[in-house]
Amino acid sequence: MLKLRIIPTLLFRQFGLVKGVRFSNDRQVGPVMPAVKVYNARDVDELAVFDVDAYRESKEPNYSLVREISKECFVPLTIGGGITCVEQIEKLLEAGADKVSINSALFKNPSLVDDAAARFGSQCVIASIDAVRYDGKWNCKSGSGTINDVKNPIQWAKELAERGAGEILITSIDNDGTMNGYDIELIQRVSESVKIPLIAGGGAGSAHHIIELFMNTTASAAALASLFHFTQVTPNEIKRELLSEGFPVRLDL
Amino acid sequence: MSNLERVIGIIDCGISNIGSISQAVMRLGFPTVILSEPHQIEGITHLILPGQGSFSEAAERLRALGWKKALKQAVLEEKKYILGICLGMQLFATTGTEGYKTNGLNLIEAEVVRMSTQDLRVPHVGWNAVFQERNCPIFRSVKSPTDFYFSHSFILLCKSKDVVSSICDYGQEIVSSISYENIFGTQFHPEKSSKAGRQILKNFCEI
Repeated sequence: MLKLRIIPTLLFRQFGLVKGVRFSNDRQVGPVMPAVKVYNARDVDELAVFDVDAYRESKEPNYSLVREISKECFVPLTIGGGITCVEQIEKLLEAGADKVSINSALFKNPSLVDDAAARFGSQCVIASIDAVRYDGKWNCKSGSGTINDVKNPIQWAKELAERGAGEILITSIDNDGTMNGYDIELIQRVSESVKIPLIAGGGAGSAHHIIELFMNTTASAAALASLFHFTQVTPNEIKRELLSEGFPVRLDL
Repeated sequence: MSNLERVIGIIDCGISNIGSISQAVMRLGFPTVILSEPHQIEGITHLILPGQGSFSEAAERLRALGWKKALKQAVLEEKKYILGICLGMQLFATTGTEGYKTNGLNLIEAEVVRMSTQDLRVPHVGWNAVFQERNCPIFRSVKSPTDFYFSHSFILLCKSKDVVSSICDYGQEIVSSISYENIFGTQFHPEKSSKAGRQILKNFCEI
């Protein structure tokens, strides 16, 4: 049986990891490499690493950092932040990334998903969407939450899936970093709109929130950061709780 | 064969990201060469063919760049060991239907088709339990079932069940690995499957 995935997410600026609330008020949470080594030692299902400044500052992805991370990571590694063209994706894959997460550049150039999927295969293209709620509806934001976009995340996810994305990562900006739980309604609406695996992000503050996510949505994976940065909870503890509720998870027994 | 006689060759012909697999194999400590030209096969004892993306494009590339001829010679005549990973394994088939109908390497009698899951999401992405169907050298010291990392939309249909060494379940029975004489293949990614994956790669390199 296919297992539900727990994906630790690392956000970095320069060489330091950060984690904020609703995409702002970042707190420093330490250097990148020790965190990567710890997660690899804990045998996580996957690891996702994002450069949160890259798009806004029009920076190239940090290939040497990706190379360093991939040397310490024996599980699937997703890299995101600032990706605007297939040449960058090629260099990231060469550096050891297994998948790339693309977000902001797609608002100007949605065919980047088509091109990347045709060239490297859908399996390595994660289309990422950051959504914020207004009056009971949602809108997309790009540039790590700094640029408003009129697109509806539910429609947008559908379009990106049809263009060839292999997975969708949907993050609720409202819930991000609050540790009050996922935006279940948003996640399920997006999940219903696509037939590819969906990764849910934004809001996990306890194992209970992740149980709630998988009980009420058809998400394939939970992405989370704050819970691991600011508490002692480990991915395996969450998975043991999921298992006791009857959910399929991967545990090294 | 002593460890000094083994030389692992990872085929880099533009059909795959070889970053992960080459790092994983080099870390095992075997002499490893990245092969970018078919003539470099000489002197290699164990070949690894990683692959991602479309069957048709990859098969055409293998043919056009001379890899098809070189691999058939190396695997069928010289009996060098080969491990195909994901699309790399699928390319061992007779024909593929991804994109359009294309001839594969025809190392085993099989066809590659799109998976037909009713309600399940495609691609099949994530960790799934692999059940060993019989003894196979690349599964030495690996429990059955063990979870491995998958990421694919197409599956291998083998003419003979005898070549199937393990299966997994995703709405239908999926061939997760094959072995036939010197030919091995995994639908999952051992290079991304943590400790169990490393054991598979080590087992292959030690055959």
